[in-house]
Amino acid sequence: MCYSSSNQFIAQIPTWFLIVAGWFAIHYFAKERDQRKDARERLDQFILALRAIEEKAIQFHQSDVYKDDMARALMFDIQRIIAKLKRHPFGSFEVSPNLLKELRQAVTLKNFDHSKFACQPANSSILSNVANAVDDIEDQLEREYERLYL
Amino acid sequence: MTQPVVNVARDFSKYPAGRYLEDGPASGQAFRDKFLTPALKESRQLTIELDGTRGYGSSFLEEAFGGAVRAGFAPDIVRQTFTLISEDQSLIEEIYDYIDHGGDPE
Repeated sequence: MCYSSSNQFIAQIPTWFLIVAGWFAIHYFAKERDQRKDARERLDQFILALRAIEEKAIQFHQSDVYKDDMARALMFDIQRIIAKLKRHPFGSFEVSPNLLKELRQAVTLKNFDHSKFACQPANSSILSNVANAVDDIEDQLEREYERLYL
Repeated sequence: MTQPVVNVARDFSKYPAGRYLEDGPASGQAFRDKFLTPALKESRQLTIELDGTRGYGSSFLEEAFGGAVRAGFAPDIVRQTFTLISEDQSLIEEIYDYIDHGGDPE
């Protein structure tokens, strides 16, 4: 009797092993999928914020008159977005400080002060520098997302 | 002896902005006149803490640090005089750019 139940137990070990391994695999892949989804959502939000900066910068540089409140808002927004890159999930993204520097320079180096402000035409290099800087950061973030999650 | 420290947010403004004095009281030129030029003239080391403000405009940074080079101080002297501290590495890189590559005012 005892010998028989011991045999039964041994016979069930592979089954139990498969059940536990399956549970771990499902749990592991579900967790990975959730992390990937969460990172994607945060990245999409980040890119929207980046695009909002681009839009605001273009509005600012194409205004007929200098807008002090918009200049300040742009400085704050750039600061916020750079700070956001230090938080989850972007802390593990490799984003060169040079790209962030180029964004700040594109928006706030030229034509950013009351003393030297002029409405920029659509073909202004300032506007294309802003668009390029935003695109470069977006491209880098997408590459990092693919490297880390796909 | 510890090096004197300027915390931009505490000692100058939480809203450093503008290039020239006419752009506002917290301009790059005002910052240079108040802190950078005296330290350079007296060959006095100075630590500058950049964190804590609500952001920086590049024109502010360029006028403050690039402006010091344009005023006649050699880039290596400007670099040696100031110790820059920030969690944002892009800020420090940008300032060194203005010091090393000379001024590029508009």
